[in-house]
Amino acid sequence: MAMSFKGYALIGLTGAIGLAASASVPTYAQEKGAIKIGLMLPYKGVYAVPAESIDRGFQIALEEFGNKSNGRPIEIIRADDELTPSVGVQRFNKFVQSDKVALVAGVVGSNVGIALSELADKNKMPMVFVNAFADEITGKFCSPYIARTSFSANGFEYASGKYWASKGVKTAVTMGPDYSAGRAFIGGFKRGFEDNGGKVIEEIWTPFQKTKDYSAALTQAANSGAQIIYAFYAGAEAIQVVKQHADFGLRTKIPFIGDHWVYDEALWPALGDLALNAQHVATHYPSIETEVNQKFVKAYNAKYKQDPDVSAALGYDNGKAIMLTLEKLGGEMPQDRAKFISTMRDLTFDSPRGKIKFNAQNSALLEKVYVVEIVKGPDGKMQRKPLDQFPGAGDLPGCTKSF
Amino acid sequence: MSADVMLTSERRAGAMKPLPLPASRRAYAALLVTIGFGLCALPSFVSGYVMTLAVEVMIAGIFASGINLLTGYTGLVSLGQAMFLGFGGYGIAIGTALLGWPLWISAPVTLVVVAAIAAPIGAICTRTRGVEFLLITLAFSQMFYGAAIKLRWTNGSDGMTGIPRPDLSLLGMSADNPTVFYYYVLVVAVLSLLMLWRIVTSPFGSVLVGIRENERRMMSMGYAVANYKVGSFALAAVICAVAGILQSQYTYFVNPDAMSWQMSGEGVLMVIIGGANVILGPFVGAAVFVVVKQALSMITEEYNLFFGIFFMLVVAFFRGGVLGSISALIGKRQ
Amino acid sequence: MQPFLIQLLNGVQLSMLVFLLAVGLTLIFGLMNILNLAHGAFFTMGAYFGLVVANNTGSFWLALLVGPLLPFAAGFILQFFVLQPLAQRGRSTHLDLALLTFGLLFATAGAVEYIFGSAFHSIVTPDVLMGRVALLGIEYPIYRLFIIAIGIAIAVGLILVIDRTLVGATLRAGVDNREMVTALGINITFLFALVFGFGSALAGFAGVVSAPVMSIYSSMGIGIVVTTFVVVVVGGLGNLKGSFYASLIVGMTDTFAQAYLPEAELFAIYILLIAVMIFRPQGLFGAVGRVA
Repeated sequence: MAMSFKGYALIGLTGAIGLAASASVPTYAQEKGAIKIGLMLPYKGVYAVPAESIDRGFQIALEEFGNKSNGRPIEIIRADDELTPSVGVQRFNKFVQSDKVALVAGVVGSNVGIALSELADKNKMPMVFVNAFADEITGKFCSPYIARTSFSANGFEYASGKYWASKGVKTAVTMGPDYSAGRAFIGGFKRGFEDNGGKVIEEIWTPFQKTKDYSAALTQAANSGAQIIYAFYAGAEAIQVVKQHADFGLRTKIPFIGDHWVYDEALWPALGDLALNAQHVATHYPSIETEVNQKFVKAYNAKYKQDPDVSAALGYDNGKAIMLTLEKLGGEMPQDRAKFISTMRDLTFDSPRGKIKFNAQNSALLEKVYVVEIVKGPDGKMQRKPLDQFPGAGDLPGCTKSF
Repeated sequence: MSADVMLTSERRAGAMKPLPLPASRRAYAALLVTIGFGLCALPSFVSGYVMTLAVEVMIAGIFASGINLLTGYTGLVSLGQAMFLGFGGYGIAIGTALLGWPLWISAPVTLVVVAAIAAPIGAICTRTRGVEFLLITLAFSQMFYGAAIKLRWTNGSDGMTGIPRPDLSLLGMSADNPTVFYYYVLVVAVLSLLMLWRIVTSPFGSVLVGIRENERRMMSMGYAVANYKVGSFALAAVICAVAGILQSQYTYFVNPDAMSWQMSGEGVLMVIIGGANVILGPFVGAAVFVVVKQALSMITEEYNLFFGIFFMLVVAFFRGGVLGSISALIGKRQ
Repeated sequence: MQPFLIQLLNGVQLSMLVFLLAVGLTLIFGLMNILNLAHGAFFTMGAYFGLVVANNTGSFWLALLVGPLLPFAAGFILQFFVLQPLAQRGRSTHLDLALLTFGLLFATAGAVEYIFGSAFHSIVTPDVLMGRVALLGIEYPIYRLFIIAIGIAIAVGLILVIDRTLVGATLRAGVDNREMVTALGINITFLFALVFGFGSALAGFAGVVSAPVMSIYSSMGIGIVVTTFVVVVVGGLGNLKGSFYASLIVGMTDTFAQAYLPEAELFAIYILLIAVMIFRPQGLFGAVGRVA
């Protein structure tokens, strides 16, 4: 074990030379090259499917602008946050310090979103969320460096709760993954439902990314005596829970109602007939008959040979909002980066889902909520049939800063 | 390559301090000063990202040092030390955000509370040894991990944000600045090391090593072995909690993932890489681990694959650790 | 009463799944004194190999039969060519071997993700086991009853083999006194590797069995292996029958916590484990021959 002093000195010397060598490497000044956008999405794990769609939608938006802003090329640098806040924080630091991005886009999980909001604020790094629907992201954690191009959980689900209450549903049991977005979505539904005469009998929370067997939770839900199960699940978790609901023969006993994440078209191959005849609320579906949407669906189909799902539409909006803002700023990230976000806030544009406007906390407002039913089309393929539409609800208060 | 620089500079630092040879004390001190100077000067000639890595290495090194006290010096291999990493982060998060205490109260209170919680846990765990110790520490950390996910007032799996860094406005500095934060972590790392060094060179430390080598003999010599083991467990916990506090300040954030068993495993791996029972070994291990992980993440996203293979190779063929191998090499040459 | 009955069945079903893993783990520990943290890796291997077979042949039954072969081979190789030589070389302690298998657990998850991607997969329930049966006023999915039946059948089969056959006698003797068995001229190295492979195969079998109700994904083995440890410790390390009862206790605790005390669902079984280790460190059912 004994090691001589000379030995240690030798190692020390090696280290010193290494240090000196690094010091002599000149650091090049950042030339006016591409605008780097860090795109952070959970490419692996339970939300891998929506992440892929968002990435594709984002690319369609950039291609609309020729992948350039005022002549400067756009470079996307991707990172996988693994839907884990601590990993997201590491990747974010890498974006800021190593990749030197101009802004960060993406982020699906609200858990990651909450962790990053503090970092974005402290680093004065514009963070343009694509999903991260939890109300507090543009509420309690609001910042002049944070914007969200989709909508808040309350904006969507309050409207949904109101709708189901108006359809004569009196009692519901809720099910959702126990994390910020699950809480926010189910909370929004509950407020909308109960403000309009409904009653949530029981709330069941399943551990996020941990539960693979929902039998115990579903058994409790079925036994609650409520008329419906209202649930928020997405990706792989949605497939599991819908399948097991059917396995236990609950389809005839207590309907499993959710939104366009539970019955996402990306999940239709896995769900098969289980998705058929499901009625749900949606913020986007491919057959919306607006010019903007049809153009988007066509471009998406041309590139990816399939219809875009809601995540693709949200990814598209995210990319488009960024490109429109850059265009307004002449393809430059201003010295004061908060100005990027405040410029975005003043935008109004038509998206495949409807008109997009931002509120004072930089959160996009939801213009329309659609109610649809999944049916078999004349070609035998599943498609959505519009039943109803109504305006989205507002955001919850909670932002104490002013900017 | 800046990454290599980190590695070698840490290795240099790592190679220095475990040298208690009286003959070369003066030269030793001189070199120590040089290293200190090198680490202090680091921010002036490397990029911000290398400094970030240096911060990660130091934090991981403190965490691994806590494990080393238990594993390397006392001979108890735990797969649950990450729970104390989490306790540190949650401690100051609860103190500052929920109770409204300033950081300078929250941090010491956290460490005291961690010691107070760790002592009874240690009393239970250290009744076992070997694989059973490994399992029961794993069980405890899984229990707290599960509880943290379910606990509403700490935001469940979302964790807590807004963890403050120290207020250095009196010195005219902001710890939000990466360079300032680097120095802050450096100071804490040096202090932790000094404390550890005091511990392992004290009679208490010799008893711990004695326990590792031959528990029965220590017992028959009249030492209250059980108390020493609990003491070692609690001290290790406090050191891990220090790392947890720094980690949460570094990311302004703490969530239950800090307590996952993979995190505990990573700590054990760093100790093995660096060479157990060498005081600077964990820092060398942390440097190797962080740099290799960083290099790998540029090549592939299959982190688990390489973490696992790396782990197996190190356990099977590299038990002396980096320092052990280097000293063996030099020993041969001479 | 009816929902309670359903939860009870849910609990038994989970218990039997965990038992398939625990029995192999405890057997390996009892015989070889190796804490195989990689046991979850064999669960994953079995599930994915079964998935490949099912996708190519469309047969669940073939998947169930062939799926465990890969983990069997992997387990055999691991013990015969890696763990045994390392242990014999004398440089590695049992603790080292446990850490080695910890690495293997994560390496396998990573390798599976590299090959199959991060998507979640499922094997389709065979037609015969589709649907539900009515019993005692409730309806319960047939497939989940099938899992319960398989668990009980394997438990009974194993107990018969171990109590009544020569192989069983050798194994029992091996747990009690390894030197004696070696002295009898039995190639213990080979036998150990076979048992290791068999335990791994059972874990892989559990992987295929669970596939129609749970998802197949790369890190599926990492979560379940911790639950398995709880069972093995509660049942007494190395105790076969104990692991059966402990499976029931742990499976029930987990399911009933999920149903009736969701605040504690993620840590109820660890409290159980810690309590057992405090009050009965040898496990609730005592250890056969060995208290490690």
